[in-house]
Amino acid sequence: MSAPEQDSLREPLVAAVPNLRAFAISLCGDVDRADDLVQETLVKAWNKSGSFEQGTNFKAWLFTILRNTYFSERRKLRREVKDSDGEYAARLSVPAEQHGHMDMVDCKAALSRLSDDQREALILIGAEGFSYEEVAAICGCAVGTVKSRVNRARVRLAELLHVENAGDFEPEAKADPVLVGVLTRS
Amino acid sequence: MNRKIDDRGDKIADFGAHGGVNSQRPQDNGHLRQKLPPEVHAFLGHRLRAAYSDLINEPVPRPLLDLLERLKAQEIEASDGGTILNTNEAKEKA
Repeated sequence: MSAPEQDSLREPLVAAVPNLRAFAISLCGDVDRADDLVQETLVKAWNKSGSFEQGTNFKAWLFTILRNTYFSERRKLRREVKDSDGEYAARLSVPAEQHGHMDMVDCKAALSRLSDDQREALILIGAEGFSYEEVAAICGCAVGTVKSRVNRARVRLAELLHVENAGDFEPEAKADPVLVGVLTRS
Repeated sequence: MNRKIDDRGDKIADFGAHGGVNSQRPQDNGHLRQKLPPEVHAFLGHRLRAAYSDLINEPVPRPLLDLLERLKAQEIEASDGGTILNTNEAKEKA
């Protein structure tokens, strides 16, 4: 592989690390595993940089590598330990308190209770801001499937946070200390 | 788990429409979206982004910074990179 190809990737690679790491943590629920995952992703991306198609979304390409790495390892691990979905998920559900301050706990705990498919779709669309088409490419599924998963995820999240109806919470920011923090941060 | 079964159902249901321009079937999404008022939708969006930005703003740990430094210094050329990848693969097998 030529150095110029890698040269042009270095800066966007560095810029994407915090996002890759956040996505990895939300995928596997474990900070140490997430860091390993990001590290493997960076090395793979670096080595395979020739396979990146110029003009396409670089961050989406990185997310695809990270996601594929995670699921291939997970499949292998699951075969090895013959674990059931439920037990595995329970073990991966690290208490939300491990990250950030208490204001975030509710939302993170609720996110951890979504199915893997729903959580990743919601995060990629709602937090990372990818398009439905990009997420479909990242997750290897149809655009309609992504839309369906995101909608199900939102409905489920609303249930878990007890905000299914407009009257269930105060629309004012004061009902949400997190939001207050975000809005008042200068 | 029911959710798993539901998701499989999604995939099966989507096969017919996969790849087509008309694959969006807005009535399916509309049916679910109706359950959430716009205020709830907005509220969830704020909460989600706030929680996620908390993760994004965590400091990047030292091993990742070190790796990036090595990339910056171009210490990982094609051949060396292969070695590192092989090391990782060996670790996976262990």
